[in-house]
Amino acid sequence: MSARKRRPAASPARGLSLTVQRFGAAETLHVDSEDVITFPAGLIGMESLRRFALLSDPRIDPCRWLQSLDDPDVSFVVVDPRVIDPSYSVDFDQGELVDSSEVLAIMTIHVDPKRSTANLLAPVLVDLAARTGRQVVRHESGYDVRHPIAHEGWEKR
Amino acid sequence: MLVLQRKTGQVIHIGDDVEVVVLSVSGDQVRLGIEAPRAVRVLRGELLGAIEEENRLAASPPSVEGVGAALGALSLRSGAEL
Repeated sequence: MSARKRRPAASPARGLSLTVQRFGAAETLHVDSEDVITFPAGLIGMESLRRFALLSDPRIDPCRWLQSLDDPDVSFVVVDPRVIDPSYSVDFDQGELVDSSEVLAIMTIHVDPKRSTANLLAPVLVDLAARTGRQVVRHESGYDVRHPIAHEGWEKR
Repeated sequence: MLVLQRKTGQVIHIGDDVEVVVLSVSGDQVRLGIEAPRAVRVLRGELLGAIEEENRLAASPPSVEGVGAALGALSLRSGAEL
């Protein structure tokens, strides 16, 4: 996160534009109003960041960006946790998970891929219809906050 | 901070629907029983701290090399399942 902060410019009814850093270069994004996802409680430890967008990017497929619209310097690489662990399953309360819900795991990317991890303990739940999201903690699930994404032997292939 | 002294088996009520009971005390370890609605998040302090820290780490922009290697690991992983 750089010291320079530019607030995204809001243009009424049409959404907002923001400049983000992607792979060392500045890129300008436009997010339509209807694509803004509100996190009423923010993310854990980042309670002030309430507005996000879930952005596809062929360069990181099957992952996507969970981009903060309140702070352009904050973006997460997220992925369907079943890509990491096909048997991934955590309990949700009734009403917590609806047909329009997506479960996403936040990834922590390191230059050394053996250290890259996904947070399977505290997934992000996004309701794409209601355009709301929140991060939940499933401490009874046995999953780790730093689940290694590389399994043994992948480097050798 | 409110400080209360409790004995084993004694209870503290927080709000209308949270109950904390001291189950046992042994040396510097205290076992607590907590009854709270599912919507109330009950977590060990260090666990919440670990998630906050991980969110902070994950928020910084990844390098091309890091993402490339991570995606490579993912594709091999999903390929292994096919």
